[in-house]
Amino acid sequence: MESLIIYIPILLIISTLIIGLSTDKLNNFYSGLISTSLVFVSLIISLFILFDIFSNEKIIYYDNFYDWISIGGLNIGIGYLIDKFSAIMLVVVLSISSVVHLYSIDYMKDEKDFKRFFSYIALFTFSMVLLVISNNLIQLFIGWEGVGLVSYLLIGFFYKKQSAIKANLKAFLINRIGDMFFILGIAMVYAAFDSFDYRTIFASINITNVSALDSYFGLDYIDFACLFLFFGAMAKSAQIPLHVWLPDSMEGPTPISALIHAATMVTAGIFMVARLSPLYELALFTNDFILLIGASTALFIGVIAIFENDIKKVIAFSTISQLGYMVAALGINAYSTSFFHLYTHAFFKALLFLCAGSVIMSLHHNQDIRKMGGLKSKLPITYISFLIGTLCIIGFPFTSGFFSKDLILEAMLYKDNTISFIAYLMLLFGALVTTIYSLRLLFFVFYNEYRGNDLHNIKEQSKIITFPLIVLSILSILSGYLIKIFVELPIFMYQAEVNYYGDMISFIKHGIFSPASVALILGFIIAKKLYKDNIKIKFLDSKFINYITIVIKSKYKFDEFFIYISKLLKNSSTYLSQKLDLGFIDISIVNGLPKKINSVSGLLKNMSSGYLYHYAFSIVFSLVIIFGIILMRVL
Amino acid sequence: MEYILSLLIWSPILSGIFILFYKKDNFLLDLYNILINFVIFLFSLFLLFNYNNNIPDFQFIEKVRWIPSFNINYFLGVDSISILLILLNTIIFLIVALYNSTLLIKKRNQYYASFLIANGLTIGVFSALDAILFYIFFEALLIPMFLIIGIWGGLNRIYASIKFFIYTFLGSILLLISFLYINSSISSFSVDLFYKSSFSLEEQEWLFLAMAIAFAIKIPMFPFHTWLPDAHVEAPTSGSVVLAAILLKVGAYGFIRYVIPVVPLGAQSLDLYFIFLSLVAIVYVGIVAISQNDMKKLIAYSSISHMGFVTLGFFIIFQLFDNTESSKDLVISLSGSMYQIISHGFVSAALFICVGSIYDRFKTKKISDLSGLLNKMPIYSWFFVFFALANCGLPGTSSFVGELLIIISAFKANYIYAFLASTTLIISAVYSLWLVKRVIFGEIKVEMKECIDASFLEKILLFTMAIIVLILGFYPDFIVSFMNESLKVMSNNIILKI
Repeated sequence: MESLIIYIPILLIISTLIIGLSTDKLNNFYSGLISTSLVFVSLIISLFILFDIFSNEKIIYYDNFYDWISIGGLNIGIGYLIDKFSAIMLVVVLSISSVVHLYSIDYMKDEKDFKRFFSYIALFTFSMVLLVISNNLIQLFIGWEGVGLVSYLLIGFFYKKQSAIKANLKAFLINRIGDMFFILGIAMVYAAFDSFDYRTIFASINITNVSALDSYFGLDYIDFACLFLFFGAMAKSAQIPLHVWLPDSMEGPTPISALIHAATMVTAGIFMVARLSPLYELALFTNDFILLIGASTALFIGVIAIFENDIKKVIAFSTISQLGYMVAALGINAYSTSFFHLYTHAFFKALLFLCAGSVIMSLHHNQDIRKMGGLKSKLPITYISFLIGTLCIIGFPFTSGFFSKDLILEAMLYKDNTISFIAYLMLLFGALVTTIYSLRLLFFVFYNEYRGNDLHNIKEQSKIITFPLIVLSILSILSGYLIKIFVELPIFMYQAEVNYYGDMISFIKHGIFSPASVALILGFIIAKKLYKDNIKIKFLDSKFINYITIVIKSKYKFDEFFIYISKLLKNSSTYLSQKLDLGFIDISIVNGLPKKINSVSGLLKNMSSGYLYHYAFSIVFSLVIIFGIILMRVL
Repeated sequence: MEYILSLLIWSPILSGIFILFYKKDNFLLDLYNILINFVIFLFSLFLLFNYNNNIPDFQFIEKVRWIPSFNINYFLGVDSISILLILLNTIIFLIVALYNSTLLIKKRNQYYASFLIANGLTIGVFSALDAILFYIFFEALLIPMFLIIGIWGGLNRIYASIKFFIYTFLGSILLLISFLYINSSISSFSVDLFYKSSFSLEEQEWLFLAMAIAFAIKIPMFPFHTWLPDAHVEAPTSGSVVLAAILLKVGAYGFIRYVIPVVPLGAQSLDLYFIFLSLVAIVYVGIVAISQNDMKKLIAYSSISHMGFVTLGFFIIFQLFDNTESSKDLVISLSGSMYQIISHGFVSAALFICVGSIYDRFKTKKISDLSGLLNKMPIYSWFFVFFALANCGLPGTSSFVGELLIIISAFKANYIYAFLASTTLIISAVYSLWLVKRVIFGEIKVEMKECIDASFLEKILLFTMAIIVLILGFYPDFIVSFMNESLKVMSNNIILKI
């Protein structure tokens, strides 16, 4: 089985090149079909690998395809490390990618740049695979930047739209802030362990006395390294304050929002931290930092979604919020819990986005939920799929979201210290918020009366669109029942999950009778009253609530902050360029010096004037001085 | 093929002189020029394949007594570092020859002659093992470049070319004096004896300073950099390509061949200043690049910023050695610098060709005059985007390798260096991609409606360079391990003396 693995990246890069470089002879539909089938074949290979890995406890695939750099003492390879963790991730990535490929054949059919789109998503899948199977930090970084690149290209897919090309620049630059720290983190790990290879690093943790490494500014070396690496994850996985690019990334085509900006790429940060868990387990300060960042992202960004009116942006904010749950779980070292939520979230979030795409298509590219409504009967398949997605995200019992979210909450309680309890409360409140915005979206889009125009033109999309929805709906419901596999994932050193999971039936019982269910019911009541029955509640008109609403609607001014920074950079560039580079160095010194020389030489030129009396005078004058000096000496 | 190096040096120079007498401007001239450059490229490939990497010493040696009374020899020889630079040189000149054949140029034969002579002289610089011979090639190289900018340049070409000439000439005098001083003590000009010289710390400091300024002007390092943007803006496209891809590298080569191994103690005691200047180049010059409105100026500033990495990689080796006591980290850092040199050669050359093509079509290099090229020239635009991304060090392109190696080495030397150097990830992305956003994306401007996409030859050239950049990015090992032995020898030389 191990020899099969090389075919996954090869198939994907072939797909990228064939579609990207083909001429007009290959028509759009067939190029989409070729691309989709290549991804599908990769998916099947990855499934074989998954079963092989799970069939035997001891199997780990590990090798290099080739040496990227190998000079004395520095060995970096491009290769793979497949254990249960990366095998699952590989299947998740490839399955969502296949579904999105299929969906896009229809969704993008009217686009002029159809092939460019397919070439991009194949390249994205390639980079993501490179990232997931990597056995060292450099390959991880190559994949990491690769997915960032494709995200940049796809957000700016409609390159004539100013908003799109602004959004993609923003996304790339914000990610670059994270990457700068990420590469520093990599440099720190390399400086301490003298290797980029995961297994070598983890093996030498025991040998290297971690506490003996230098500390900077009162923080342990390992804390710093992990913190810097986590900054990279904050940008990629859209955590406060580097989350600002994700809502804007919705400028890209909707299938992309599903694949890249919800299910796979944005989870790369979580994947990275989990992959490096042996390092993170030692970084105590950083863990608390991660926990707080995750919990605040989950709560505070989730709240924004309640006031958002763009269907895609609501889902985007909910993605950020859900990523916050995963990050928070990382912060208490519950890596497999976090990974479990990553996995369930991938399916139901992709489902929600693809449903949104179907709605947007049916409404001729209207994305404003205030102009929707009553689509339940018009788009029955989309409605049911969307309903399933919503039930998953709010954690309705027996859906996948129920299992994964409850596991995170249980993990918070099990950790049992002050910070994790605060985080627990924030995440619990976040669950309430999630219920409110998700149901609000559902009610606005599918219930009540239609508020736009042209109702009779609206009809369900073709089978190519609805089939992926059905597939993802089934996966969304069923994926939760694999909880036991995740709880027992043997790759992380600290495996506390087993303690609070117990068994399936008791876990479900416990989950139903937990505070999370109270949040769920409360959220349902609030959302139904406010957004379905449109009942005005006096309390919400009070001054205090109004004030909070304004703060939330301003999105806490994070965007303005980054705009300010970019203006600052631009202005200082202009200032330095004009004043220092041109003004001081060039004009004053480089051109000024020759001018000085010129004026000095002008003086000298005057001395050699050619008039005899000038020379006679200077001879006499000099003689007088010389004699004067001699006389003084003699005397 | 005993005289392969002489052949490499003199065949372009002589054929350059030869076509000065061919006054007609026709197809034959183009063909001849391309053919000569192609043959030279093949010669350099011969060099590459016949170089024996198991012998850690100079190879293809030619040594003839030239001026015996002053101990000056005609002494040539190459190690793997020189071979890579010669190869870069011949590839770039071949690309330039092909590109030139598409242009309308006055006095075409003289234009070609200048490039051919510059080609030969640069190979001379990279293969000379006698300091005076090196100096002669190094100086003579100024003449064709001066003519290229001064005759075929833009409106303000006289100012730019004279600034370029005087500035670099000023540095060279210091270089000559240093060589003479070294000679007065060891009575030889050959490099291998230079390496064996031993001067006191104070002597070394002065020698280092004199030679370093000469090469710092050429690279250019901050604050000697202001001639470069002007020279680039005024130079014709092919001139800019040669300037960025080859001429700057001559300065870097000078550091690694004549300065650091010869006077390592001097370099060691003054390394902090040069590290500081390198970091200023990376951060400050990068920031200055952001607000440039002339595309050529922007790329020129980004070149200076990228060359800052090269010099950073050179000068951190002393602190690296202090911290780790092993030669292996020195080799990694120097490999990073060399890789950055080669990578930047291709990326900057491609960017200048891109800008040149824009200029040919719209007669403007101003960013504010352009918009939405992607609408009309998709193939060309994607190349532009690709090279802009390569310029900001995206993994998978060649630029990433050098930056990575230098950043990880810099961290071992001092974390502050690594921190400042890594800001390039942000800064280079800002200037490169903001440029792309304004020029390539968006709606096309009305006055730009009429334009044609990349010609067949442009496509071939850009495609070739893109492939080279990708290969260098995805499989750096073949270059890194090729130069490994020579760098090991070099770093051992340095370690022995400090």
